[in-house]
Amino acid sequence: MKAEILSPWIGTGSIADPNRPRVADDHPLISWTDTTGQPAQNLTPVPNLFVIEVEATAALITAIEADPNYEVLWSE
Amino acid sequence: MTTRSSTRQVAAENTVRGTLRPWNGASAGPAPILILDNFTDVNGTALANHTPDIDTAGGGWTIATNGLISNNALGGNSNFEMPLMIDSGVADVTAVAEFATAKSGFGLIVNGVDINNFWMGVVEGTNLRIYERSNGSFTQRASVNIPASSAHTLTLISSGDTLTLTASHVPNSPCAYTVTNRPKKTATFVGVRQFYPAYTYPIDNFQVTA
Repeated sequence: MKAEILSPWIGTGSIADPNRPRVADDHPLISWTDTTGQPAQNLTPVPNLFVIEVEATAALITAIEADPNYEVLWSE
Repeated sequence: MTTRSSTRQVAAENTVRGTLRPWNGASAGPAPILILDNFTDVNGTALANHTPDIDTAGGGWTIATNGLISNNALGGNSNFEMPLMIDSGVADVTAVAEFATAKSGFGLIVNGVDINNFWMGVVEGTNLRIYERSNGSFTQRASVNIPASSAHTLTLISSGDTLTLTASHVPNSPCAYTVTNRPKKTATFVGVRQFYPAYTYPIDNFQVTA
């Protein structure tokens, strides 16, 4: 399934701890891409939120919907 | 007389054929090779002193700290997180190289400005990932889960606002990222990136086409 998810950024920007979507740390996504394109120099934004488009199993999308840390904007 | 005339004609044709004309994009055919480097050189040659097989822009490997030739491939010393870059003269390019390791952090660089500003496509564990390095910070922009492979060829395509990274063993699972007015998209440095002592994990057959 595909979905768009609202996630906070996590990371310090170092190579060992790069800026990345927190949802990808918490849930094993098949793939994701940043659809917001926030400029790197503005990270981390306030409020700390951005949108990624993901591919994941239906069960995982359901699990993310149940996770209060994230908002699934749509899925199909 | 006939022979002399034919000789002149052949000579004239050869002169025309021998003249390199700038490629104007009008004819179909293989994309022009901007850079080709098979890293054939004496063991221990510093990358900065090594001449690529084809280097259209002619500048050589100008961002090459710690890059070394080893067994006719690109190696390195124990320096970690090492981008190695050369100016291709063109921003929209296809960069390809062979990687003899499944170790994380090896990959390709396009749209490079300097050591702290570039785009890279790498393998990390069982993921293909596109990173933006901006003012020294690393930001993941896209990721695709793939099966591990001990050796693979990576292809990173820069085309305007879009980057596409593909591994040879999963050609139908590209990692792609698009953003309007993608930063650094007009920058022309390309290269490779290694993350471990690369004597053990060589990089070879680096090619960049327009």
